[in-house]
Parts: sequence; structure tokens; C-alpha cells
Amino acid sequence: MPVDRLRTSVAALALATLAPAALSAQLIQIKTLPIAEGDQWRIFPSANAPMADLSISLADSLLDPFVNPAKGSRLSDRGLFFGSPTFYSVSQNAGGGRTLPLGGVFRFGSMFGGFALALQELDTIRGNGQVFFPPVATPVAVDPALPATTTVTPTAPSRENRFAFASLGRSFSTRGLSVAGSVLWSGLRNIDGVDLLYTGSQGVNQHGGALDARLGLTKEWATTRGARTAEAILLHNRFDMTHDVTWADQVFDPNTRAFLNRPRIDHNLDKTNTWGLHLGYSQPLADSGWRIGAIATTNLASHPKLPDYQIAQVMVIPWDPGHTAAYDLGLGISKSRGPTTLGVEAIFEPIATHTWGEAHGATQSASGAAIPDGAKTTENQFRFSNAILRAGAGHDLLLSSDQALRLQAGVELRSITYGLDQTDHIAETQRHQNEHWVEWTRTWGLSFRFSDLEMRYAGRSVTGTGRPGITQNGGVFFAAGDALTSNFLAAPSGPLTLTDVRVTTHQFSISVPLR
Amino acid sequence: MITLLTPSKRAAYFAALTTLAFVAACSDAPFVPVDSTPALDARLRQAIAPWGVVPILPVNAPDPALASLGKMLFFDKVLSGNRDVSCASCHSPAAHTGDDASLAVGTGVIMNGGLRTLGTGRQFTPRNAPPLFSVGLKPFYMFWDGRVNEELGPGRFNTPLGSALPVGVSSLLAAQAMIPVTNRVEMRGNAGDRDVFGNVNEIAQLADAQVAQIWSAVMHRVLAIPAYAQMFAAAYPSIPADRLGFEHAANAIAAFETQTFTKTNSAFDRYLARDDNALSLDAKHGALLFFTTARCSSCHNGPLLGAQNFASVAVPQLGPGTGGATPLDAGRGDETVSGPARFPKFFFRVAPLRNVELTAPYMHNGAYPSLEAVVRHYNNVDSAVKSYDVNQLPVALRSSYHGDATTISALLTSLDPRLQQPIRLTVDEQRQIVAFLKSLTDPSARDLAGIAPAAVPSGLAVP
Repeated sequence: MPVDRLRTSVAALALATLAPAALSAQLIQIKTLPIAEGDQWRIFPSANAPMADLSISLADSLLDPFVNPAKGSRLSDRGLFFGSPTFYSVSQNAGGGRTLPLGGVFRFGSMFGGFALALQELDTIRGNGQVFFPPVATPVAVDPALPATTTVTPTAPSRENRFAFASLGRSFSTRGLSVAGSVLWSGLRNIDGVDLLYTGSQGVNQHGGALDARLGLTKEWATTRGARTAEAILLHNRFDMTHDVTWADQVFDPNTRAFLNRPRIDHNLDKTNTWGLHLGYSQPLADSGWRIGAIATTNLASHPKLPDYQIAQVMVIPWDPGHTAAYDLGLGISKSRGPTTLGVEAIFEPIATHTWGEAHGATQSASGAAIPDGAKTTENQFRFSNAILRAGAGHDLLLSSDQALRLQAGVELRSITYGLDQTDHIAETQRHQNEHWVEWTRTWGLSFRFSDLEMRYAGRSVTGTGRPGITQNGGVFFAAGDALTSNFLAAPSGPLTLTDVRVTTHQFSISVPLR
Repeated sequence: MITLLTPSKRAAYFAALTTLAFVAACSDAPFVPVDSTPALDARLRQAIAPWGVVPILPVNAPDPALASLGKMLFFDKVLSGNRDVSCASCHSPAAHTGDDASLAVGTGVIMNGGLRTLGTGRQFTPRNAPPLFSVGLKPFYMFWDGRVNEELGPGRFNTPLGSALPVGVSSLLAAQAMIPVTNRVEMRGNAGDRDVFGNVNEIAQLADAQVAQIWSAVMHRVLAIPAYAQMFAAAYPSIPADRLGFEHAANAIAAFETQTFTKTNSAFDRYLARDDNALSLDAKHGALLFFTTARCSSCHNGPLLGAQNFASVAVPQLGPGTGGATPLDAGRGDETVSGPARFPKFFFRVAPLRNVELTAPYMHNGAYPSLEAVVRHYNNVDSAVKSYDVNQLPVALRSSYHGDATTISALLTSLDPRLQQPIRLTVDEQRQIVAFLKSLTDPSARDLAGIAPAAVPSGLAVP
């Protein structure tokens, strides 16, 4: 099998909401195509990242305060500062990026909080002088001496994103209760791969941002076998991006007999608003070192506007609004015995998404029935039955009394399965389609723990997904669809050829505890 | 609460999840092609993209004085030797720049109940009068055999007239307009003819090779009319009257034709400009067939949907024929047109298709009276040629049909390889293609009758 295995999936009309979901499990990712996602949203350090991001029955001392701000109360010291430079790359030279977060969490008495700032730079896939978006081929027998096109200056893509996080909370130690709120602001100028969603465009200028506000609550009950913990997170996420896409529409000028490129700029809006409620509970099982946990997450998302992508070899249906109800029901179990930690998690993820296109002007159906302006022309009902399995292990090697080396590894299987019922009110047809694929993630890492410093390395590699339009040598042979970051909704109806890629991420983090 | 589950239930739940994940991983994903309307648009746009079929920008407005002069000349029979036909006789706006006839009738016409019929001793022109809807879009070839062209390069007009073509001809369309007045069948008449007033047709007395004298004679007539002298002076203020040649008249006619007959606001043009609602569902399906399965776009491509290449599609032969193949018509394959071995026989210019709905009858000789018949022909050329129904021709032409086995065999021998196998379109698909072809009609092209002037400077009747 060639390294650059081409896989053909079924895809067609692309609609994607690219809200940052990888920040936490509390935003449930929606994805209808086996698209490789860049690891753009992995901003904060994580102790469990090398163990497949186990989180249900295992606490993550570094990441938890950013997921549920109330968990900042668990700081054993006065706090810590951290820096966690993160690098990711997509194989076949199909993308990559670097993120430098700096931040800290602190605790003063019953008050606790955190902050973080992050700068991010993404590689442009259009570099190296490649003909990235070739003009539409025109095999027209005109005189070769005539100019075929005129140049349209591409819009320079922005490459930098900025993130700012702040949290503040209070613990009520007598009740074992902690309450905190957090805000994550993302100023986004480049979401990985969005350029690839607009086949044939001359440039995509992205601008917008996201705001993620959370109210977290934790409750702990100390027992002789360890703490029972419960948590709740109420979140609201607003994702609002605009893609100013410059197209070079070819036109024929009969006066000069020349084909000209006439610039056209589409302003594609990508908006999703999500309300979410996450509940979690974990407790030790007897005094065996086993711990079990469970989560239940609900996301109710509205998509006021989704972009009209143009994806090569994919039928793109212009979308307008939609809404989603997504749920995570998960179980996790872990065992810590001595220096060794093991954990397994399973999550069942049913999602229902309803999207539709609206008539832009009065339209007639096949039978002649009138479809008024604004009425639905096409509807898609997605029914997902996703499943996620994670397993991880870690082992501590005590180097000295105050030095330890931890080795970690993990694997995650994400199975995405959905059925699509599509109703075309214009053609007066209906169809059903089933889709599925599996993504594999392998994780590994090690950390050194000293008395006044922790250094960590976490690596992860995701396979089973692809990026369309990528050739073996890293060139781009056509602009194509990609979804990359988080949610990716597309109602398939035509062939999509993806080139398998591997997304590899390396994260280094240093945390300095405050004594 | 999960914690309330018994250990056995917990285990069962976990096992179910695990099974679910792996079953999902192993199931197969069928490919289901669909034709939902939005997807149809996407497919159609992708199908169109490789063929250079793109929106057409407006043509530059000509000098009003030039276009006004061209309009009068276009409608004025004074340009014909017998003063009985004008450009508009065969390219009548009322007949959508045609004459509704399979083969055009030139000078010597007899009007019979509003129909132009062949006069005594006259013959049909060998071909159908080409519509003028695309001539202003600067195609590289004019006439059905493309004998007026720019093959030598932009601005280098290649015509049968060779070096006789005056330098001042401004466009290929103007170069084309130089020719009909020299053609005895179309406009000039035969030696000995008398015009509609009984006067000697002085232009017809000239030898065929005397094209410069023919043009001078026509201009002598035209400039003798004071109104024309004034109009020429307005259109060409920097050129003295004694330096005016027929090329100036031809340039004016070309300007008028370009301004008046360029019609590119069809539903399909609006669709190309990204109005998805511009086309009906049938037209979209037809267009998809046109650009894919039916392979129409392999010839009818480019901004004009044709007019830039030649093809042999085995159109049944009829009429008097022309050139070295007489009584047949070898088209571009006639050695007298394109030189030896340049093209095989029976190659004709691929017709541009905008407003094609309005320009029946079709093909180079008007062999088919309807778009439906044309699509049937392409769907199975072999069958269509062998079973051609001569009754679809006007009575006067039926006897000129060349349905002998030798001719049919010759036609099928030179048939384009892309058409040698039936396309096998269903009746419904053929209907959809016709729906697409009808979507190429600019609404403003439907009624052009108002274009004709009430009178022309010569005082001759306006056709």
C-alpha cells in the first residue's frame, strides 16, 4: 500500500462549524467527514495527554482548572506558572503550527484562579511557490497568443491567533464545594485548513473569534478510601468567524477575446452558539486503588450561519442555519497502585443535527409547487452514534527522594457513525445514507518531576483521517475540503478523495510550583 | 446514577460500548450518488468548469453614427445588384436573424404570401443563413465552412478574397460582410439581370474576380443617395467621400450587428453568473447531460458554446451543394475552401448555441426543423442519417435531398468518432437537453421585429 494511500469516502455538501472543541470534552465535536484536524486547539498543558487524555476517572492536575475552573481549588500549593510550547504538524506538508501559552494558576486562601495567554502561528499550506489554486482549466481553442487570464492578487492570509484565559473562584472548604467562572477569548485570524475548504479561491481572509464562558462547580466528599467528587459545568460558547474568500471568476471579454479573472469576494459567515451542561462524578472503589467515574454532557448548539464551502470533488450544498443536540455519556475506570496508573474510558456520543438550506428567492419544485423566499430547499437530519474508547497507562520511576520520571502512553479509538436523511424540497426527493470511519490516536510522553520544577513532554499522533487535495510530495493538486479544528458537518452526496495524513503533535511544558 | 448500577450491569454497559465502537469500525460505507438539487448545482458547476463556458462581458458600444449607418445598410436592398435583397432579407430580425428557411434564398426571390420563394432560374444558396446572435462576440470563424477566419492570427483576416480584402476592414465580422455583395446567388445577381425597376444590374455585369470593382459599384450606388453621404460623413468624419470604400460600409454593418444582435442575458448566462435559481430543474439536468454524458460540450464549448472548431456530424445532405463536392457540400473539407487534406469532407463549423431555440431550422443546411430532431440525430447518428425523413423539409427542397447509399456511407465514414456509437439518451433526457438549449435564450431576443427601420435612405421597401 502506498504511503500516500488515497481513500475514497462519501462526501458532498460541506457545512462546517469550526468552533474550538478540542479545548475540552465539554464541547462535543461534530464531524461528518474523515477530515484530519490540526491540533490547533491544544493550548493548555495536560498531565494526562500522554495517556490518551483520560479524564473521567483520573484527575488532570494541569488541564483541569482550564476545563472546569472550579477545579482550581485542588491546587495543593499556592499555585504554579507554566509554559507549554506546542508544535503540531500534518504529514505530507499539509499544515502545522506552533503555540506558545504562558500562564499560571494560583490560590490565596479560599480564592483561586488562573490566567493564560497564548500566541499561535500556523503554517500556510500555500507556501513554496506552489500553484495552490490553479485557475479553472479552459481547454478552449483560442489563439494561444491571447492571454488566458489576468492576475488577481491573492489576499494575504493571516497566520496568527491569540488566546487569553482568566478564571476566578472560591472554595467553601467546610462544604467541600468550589465555584468558579472562567472566560477564554480567542482572537482568530487563521483556522487551520479553512483555506482548503474553498476550492479555486485566490485567498481566504479569516477573521473573528470565539468566546467561551464557563461556570464550574465541584463537590468533594472525603472518605477513608479517597475523595468522591462531583462536578458540574455550565458553558456558553460563541464562535463567530468570517471568511472573506476571494474568487477569481473567469469571464470572457468579447472585445479583446481574452479570458479575464474578475475578482469576487464572498463573505462567508461561520457562526455557532453552544450552550452546554456537563456533569461528572467519580469515586474510589473500595480501597483497591480502583476509581470509577462517569460523565454526562449535553450540548445544544445553534448554527445561525454556516459557510458555503466549495470543496473539490465534493458537492457543496449552500447551507444556512441548523441546530444540534449532542450528548456524551461516558464511563471511566482507573487504577493506581504504587507507581503505576492505568485507565480506560468509554464514551457513547449520540448527536442529532438538523441543517437546511433556504431559498434565496422564490423557487419552484419539480412538481411546480412554489417554494417561497426563505423556505427550506433542502434538509439534512444527521443521527450520530459515535463511540470513543481510551486507554492509558503511566509509570513513575523514582530517581531520588525529590526527583521522579514518569512514563506514559495511551491509545484512543474514535468511531464515528452516522446516518443522514436528506430531503430535497425542490427535486421532491429523499435519500438516506450511512457513513462511518475510525480515527486512531496514539499518545506517549514522559515527565520529570523535581522539587521545584516539572518538565513534561507529550506526543500524539492521529491517523485514520485525511486531507483532500494533498499530493504525496506535499504539493496541493486542488484546493479541497478540510475541517480541521473541531466541528465539521457535511452532508455527503458525492465522492471525496482524501489523502491519508498523520497529525503529529509535540507539547513541551514546564511548570513551576509556587510554594 | 452510574454508581447505582450493579457491577454486572456496569460490565454489560461497558461491553456494549466497546462492541458498538468496533462494529461501527468494521461496517462498510456505501457510496450513494445523489441528485439533490443543491448537489445538482454543484455537480453542474463542476461539469461546466473545464469547458471554458464562462460569463460574457458586454460588448463595447460602437460609435452611434457608425451603428446608425450600419443599421440602414443592413436593411437596405440597394446593396444588392437587383435591389431586391438586403442583409435583413436572410437575417431578418423578425425571424430571429434568420429566414426560417432551410436554405436561404438570395436575389431573384419571389414573395409568395409573405414567404420568400425561389425565383425563376434561381437556385437556393447551398446553406442555411447563419444566425447573427453570436457574431458580435468575435468568433474566430465565420460562415458554416469557416472560410472567413483569423487562423493566421488575431486581426489577420483570412478570406477567400485573399489580398483583395481592403486594409480598412476593422473586424472579422466586417470581413464577412464584404462577401455577400460579391456573391451572385446571395446578393449580386447574374449577368443580364435587371433590378426591380427594370434597370440593368450594373454590378452583376462585373466578372466574379473583379471584387474591388464590385465593392466600388455598390458604394457608388450608396453614396449617390444624399442621406447615405451624410451618414457616412458622420460616421467617418475624417475620411473624404472619395476615399470611402465598401469596407467602411462593412465596418458599419458589423458595428450594427454587434450592437443589436449580441444577446447574452439568457437564463444560462445568469446561472453562469452564479444565480442558482436561474435554471429550471429540467434545464439543469439537461445541462449536466450536455456537459457530461451526452458529450455535447466536447464541441460546443468556450464562451460561445461553439464557433471555434469544426466537426463532422453526418448531417443529411441536401441542396445544390457547393465547391468541388457539388452537388454535395463538403463544408470545411472542400479543397477549394481549406486547401488539400486540411479537413476531411463534411466538416462544418460547430454552431454557437446562444439563442439557438429561436433559430430553426438547424444544421448547416437546415436539415432539422426542431431542437428535438437535432438531439435525436446526435443521440444515434447512424440511425438518424439512414432513416432521415425528407418530409421534414420544405417541399421545394425535398427533391434535393441526397439520400443515396453512397452519400450516406460517405457521411458516416467521416463521422466524428465521438458520435459513432449511440449516446443512448432516454427520451426524457433528450427533453432535458432541449430544455437546457432553450435556457440559452435571451428574452430580449424573442421579439426583434421592432428593430427594422420604417424606411431606408434608398426608399426601397424594408424587408
